[in-house]
Amino acid sequence: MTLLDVTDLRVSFPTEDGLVRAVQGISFTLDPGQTLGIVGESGSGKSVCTQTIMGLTRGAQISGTAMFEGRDLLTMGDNDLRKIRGAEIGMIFQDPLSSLHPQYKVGWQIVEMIQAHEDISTKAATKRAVDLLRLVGIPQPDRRVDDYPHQFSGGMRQRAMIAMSLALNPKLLIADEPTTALDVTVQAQIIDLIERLQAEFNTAVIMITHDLGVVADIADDVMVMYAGKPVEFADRRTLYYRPHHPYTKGLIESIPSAEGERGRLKPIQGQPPSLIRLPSGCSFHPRCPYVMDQCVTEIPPLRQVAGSADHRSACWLPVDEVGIGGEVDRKREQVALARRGTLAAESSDVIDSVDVPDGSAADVPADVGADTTTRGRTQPLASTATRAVRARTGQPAPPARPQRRGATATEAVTAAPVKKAAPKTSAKKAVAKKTVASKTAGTTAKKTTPRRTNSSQNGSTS
Amino acid sequence: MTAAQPEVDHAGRDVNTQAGDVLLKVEGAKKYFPIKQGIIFQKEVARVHAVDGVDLEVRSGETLGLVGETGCGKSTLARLIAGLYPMTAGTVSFDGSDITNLSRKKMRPFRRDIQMIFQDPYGSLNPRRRVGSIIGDPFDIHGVADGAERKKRVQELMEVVGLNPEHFNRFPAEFSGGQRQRIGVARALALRPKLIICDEPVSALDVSIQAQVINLLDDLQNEFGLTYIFIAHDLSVVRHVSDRVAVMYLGKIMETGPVDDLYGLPRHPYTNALLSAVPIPDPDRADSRERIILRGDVPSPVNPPTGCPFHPRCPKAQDICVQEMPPLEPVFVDPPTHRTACHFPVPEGEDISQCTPGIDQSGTGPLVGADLSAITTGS
Amino acid sequence: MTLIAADEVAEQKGGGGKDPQPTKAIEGRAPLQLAWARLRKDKVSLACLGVIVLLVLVAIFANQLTDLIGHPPNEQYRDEGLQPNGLPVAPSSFFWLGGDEVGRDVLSRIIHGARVSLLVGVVATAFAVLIGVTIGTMAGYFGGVIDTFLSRTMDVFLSFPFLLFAISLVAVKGASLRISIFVIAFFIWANVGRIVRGQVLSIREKEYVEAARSLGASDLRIMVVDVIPNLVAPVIVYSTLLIPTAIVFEATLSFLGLGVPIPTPTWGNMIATSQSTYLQAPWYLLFPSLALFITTLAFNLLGDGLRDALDPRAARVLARK
Ligand SMILES: Nc1ncnc2c1ncn2[C@@H]1O[C@H](COP(=O)(O)OP(=O)(O)OP(=O)(O)O)[C@@H](O)[C@H]1O
Ligand SMILES: Nc1ncnc2c1ncn2[C@@H]1O[C@H](COP(=O)(O)OP(=O)(O)O)[C@@H](O)[C@H]1O
Ligand code: SF4
Ligand code: SF4
Ligand SMILES: [Mg+2]
Ligand SMILES: [Mg+2]
Repeated sequence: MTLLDVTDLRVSFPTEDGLVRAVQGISFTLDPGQTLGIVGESGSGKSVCTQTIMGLTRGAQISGTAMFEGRDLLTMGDNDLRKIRGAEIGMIFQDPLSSLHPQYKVGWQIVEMIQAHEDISTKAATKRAVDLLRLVGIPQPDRRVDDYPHQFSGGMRQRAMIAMSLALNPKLLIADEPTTALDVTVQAQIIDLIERLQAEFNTAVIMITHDLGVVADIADDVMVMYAGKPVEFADRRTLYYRPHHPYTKGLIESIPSAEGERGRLKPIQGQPPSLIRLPSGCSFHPRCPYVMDQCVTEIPPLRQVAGSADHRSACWLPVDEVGIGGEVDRKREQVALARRGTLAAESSDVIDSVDVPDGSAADVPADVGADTTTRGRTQPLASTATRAVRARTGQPAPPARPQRRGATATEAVTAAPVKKAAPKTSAKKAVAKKTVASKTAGTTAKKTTPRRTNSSQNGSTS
Repeated sequence: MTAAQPEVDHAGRDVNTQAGDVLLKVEGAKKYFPIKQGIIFQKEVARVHAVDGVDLEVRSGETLGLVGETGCGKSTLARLIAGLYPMTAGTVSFDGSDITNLSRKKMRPFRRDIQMIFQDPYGSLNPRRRVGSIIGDPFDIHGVADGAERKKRVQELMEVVGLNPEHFNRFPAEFSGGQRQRIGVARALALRPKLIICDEPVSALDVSIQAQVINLLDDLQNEFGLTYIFIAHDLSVVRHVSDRVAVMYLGKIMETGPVDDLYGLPRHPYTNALLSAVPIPDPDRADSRERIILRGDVPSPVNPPTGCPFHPRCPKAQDICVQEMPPLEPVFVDPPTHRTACHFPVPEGEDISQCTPGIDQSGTGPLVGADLSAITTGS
Repeated sequence: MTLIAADEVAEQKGGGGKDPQPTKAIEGRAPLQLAWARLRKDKVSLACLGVIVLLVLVAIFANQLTDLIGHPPNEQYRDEGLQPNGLPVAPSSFFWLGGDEVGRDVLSRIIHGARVSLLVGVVATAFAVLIGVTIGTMAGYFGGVIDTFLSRTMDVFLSFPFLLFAISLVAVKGASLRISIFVIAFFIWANVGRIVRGQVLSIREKEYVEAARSLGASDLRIMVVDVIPNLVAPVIVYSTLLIPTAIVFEATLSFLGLGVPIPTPTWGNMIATSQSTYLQAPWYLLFPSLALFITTLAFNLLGDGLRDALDPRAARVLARK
């Protein structure tokens, strides 16, 4: 059974500088024992996404659903949420300093947390706290339970945080950059611990990180985020070896190779955009080496691509152009060149002028971009259902307007045979899904909403 | 760093023969920070052993990578070299002259030759000053150029580091992290220094931006024949940029050598652990390698362990390690350039995660995740 | 299909994406300019600023104003200004805010009182800021023995018995405007000094200070170029909050007869003299007190607004809660 099913989650913050659209339409499902990695640059909305699921974003405008064991976390009352938080869903925060209360002893905080959810004597709870601290590698745990957080080093504080989040054996562990503030040797300990935990208790994990290495190590599936949107979703092997989205490809190429080759690195040009003034069409287009005219005007939907059964990407490049290096890159370039007109040519000049980071643009009014209009009328669930029906009944998709998009749809159907990512979907279904996805791409391709076809079906069938 | 000719470093010299002259020599460098207590009369109650006897040589035109975990003394060593802290002991000589603890005045000419790039792109630029005046600071302080001439040179520098020269009137807040780091680079470059100490120049940047800055530093080295000391905790970045690498732990150098030797055949148990812990962005390789999981954290530098500072966590530690600090010297068949400070260096092919220490390490902390029963007793 | 087409038009229009104007518009905007832009959106602060500007104008043009009213502040109107039984007259068309115990126009006196209050408030604060910033910067920047010495000195000033000192000083030197300013500045500079020292302690650790040092900049240059400009925001906020303190100090001194010597009108001495007749002539107590209250409030609210405008993050956090 699906543990967590997030559908079209959108979060924005009204600020005096304009509306910050931190998350714009995230959908995913998570089964017990699975690890979902979320990667993206800082400010891409990773933390906001999970904090919203946990009911921790204040003053935000939130839409979508996040069903945890059949109950929607987003509409749940504070009391119910508090019961789930900590007990059912554990959370490790990015900043270990701010997540422990400085005025209380570490042990007391763990005991408090256990007793809030379980009817257990203080003595027994304290013993558990000591065991937990030992579990996460704190020396002399029976003495250190009586320490205050400031007496712990940064690494120890993060360990204590982890001990606390594990205390009640949560079904889901959300780890928001748990190791970013830590040294590699400690990071290795923590990752190892999380892996053991999963093996033992079948805990599901959402691992947020900007380190592609961490994700390659422990994630089953990976979601890549850019400027508040999921741009690519795949199992980790597909993502690393057969990425479709130029941003994912760029990220992988920009890190120094593990073999220590000393050639020039291949950075992604430009800067991440301000979430208040997103570029039109594909948010990545000012930085994308393959930008085409279509990218400047139309928002690419998250659609099925050829890497594997569950591989989705939000990019207008043909769906079978997956992979890194020589041949594929050349093909991508050819396609892009063929479809590049004046719009795309101009867009590369933008790199220099979009360099104003968030916040400094204090008085730039939030422009009423394409996205606002689209979002107003998007009914993700309903439209998914309609499309699914249409696909099954074989009703022809409405003719795609621009020629290119028609072509894209065909490519999707004839995509390369797929390697199955997870044992949850049958091959038949995968094909069916792919058809749906490609139809989708052909019909309502310009909506921002990622297609939920795959995940929702997974949810109902597994 | 040119891929085409791996035998030749960026300054066009043959790496293997180490042709460059010694530009910087650090001998026995120590820096202890006193910890003081008291309201009116401050008494020294303890000392932080931030840098504890470091010997280092940097040849002109090369990049020396300095890696190590938080608090091991990398930044302190960098600041000692730049003359920002007085040294507790040891000497630094630059280009043949002794620059140890020089007075501010005598140090001034050397400041033009030794520059720094800092880690925090937000903290290293004064938020109240315009970028043009920040980059022009070196000219101003050293009285090199004035007025229109200074502006021209500032704009040239901005161009060199890939910033729009028309933005010289902006404030740092109007730039992104990567661009701010470029401003820092421009400032460091202004006086055409010989040595630039880069203190974690890319650690605070996003991956996609890191590569931009690394490439920029690389280009500048080629163009101006710069020598770098490159500090980072990301071992892959260090591997990419460095010709030689030094691994630090608790204020001491544990292992040093040419980059390929050190990464290819790490001799020190700590280097082995460090390398095995680096996440590999490649699923197949990540699955196939064995991580060495160490016990505990890096100990506090206030009371560093006796003997070899790594002994409380080292899988190969024996009694002698507790008593004696091993010398930094070539081990086994290593060339004289590859030196290791360990009583029991790791021979080729040994898997140290299988080793058991010959001393009691229980004080360091239990092995993480050894006993999951604390969790089972719940729910 | 028509729907989609229509949307596409909307998208193309809305998402130009590379509109160069906003970039240009914010080019080179100083942090203080941004703060001002933010302050302009804050109605309360703007109103307070308005009140303060008005007060300053009143103080500057006090003579012209009282000429216009026709009642110089020290002119005693024994006939129109006093009731037959010798009590002050109530507000009327002759004395808009009533008269005082010797038949002077309360309005005129409040107008001239504003002069003293603002003058003392601003000048004393300016001195305090000057001394406080200098001492505080030195203490924070140099640290060590210098810091210990200067910090203890500030502690001494902060724990000095203010009134005893004022009384003895006036006893020796006689009351005057200068003495008032001196006494007040003497007592409030240490507040500034402490705040500044705290700020400098953190600025000193910033990497840009280290960068300046690594370039070979002198301590003086670092203090002037890198440290002090970063004190502007907190100092502006703090002095805005300090001015009303100084004004109240001045009123207290005047109230006790230690301030500006009579017959110069000050709000403090007006409140003091109104004490004897406040049952019969409440307006005489009310209006000077009100002037003092409004002034203090305006400065305090403006100070809070400035704090938010200069530190947008704090403001946003507050707004979210
Ligand atoms: N409470 C808030 N009010 C306004 N904007 C916010 C708020 N919280 C987050 N944001 C904005 O939302 C965006 C996404 O933030 P988030 O913290 O999720 O990024 P992230 O990917 O986790 O980055 P990092 O790696 O730096 O933590 C950012 O632009 C951030 O400034
Ligand atoms: N000014 C200082 N006073 C006291 N301790 C310091 C000071 N600067 C650094 N240290 C300590 O010295 C050690 C080494 O610091 P540092 O060189 O900054 O580490 P790294 O750069 O490797 O992270 C740390 O334990 C740190 O806390
Ligand atoms: S949609 Fe276009 S701009 Fe966006 S990533 Fe794909 S090719 Fe690049
Ligand atoms: S074997 Fe001994 S000397 Fe070598 S690293 Fe381990 S503890 Fe240090
Ligand atoms: Mg985050
Ligand atoms: Mg450092």
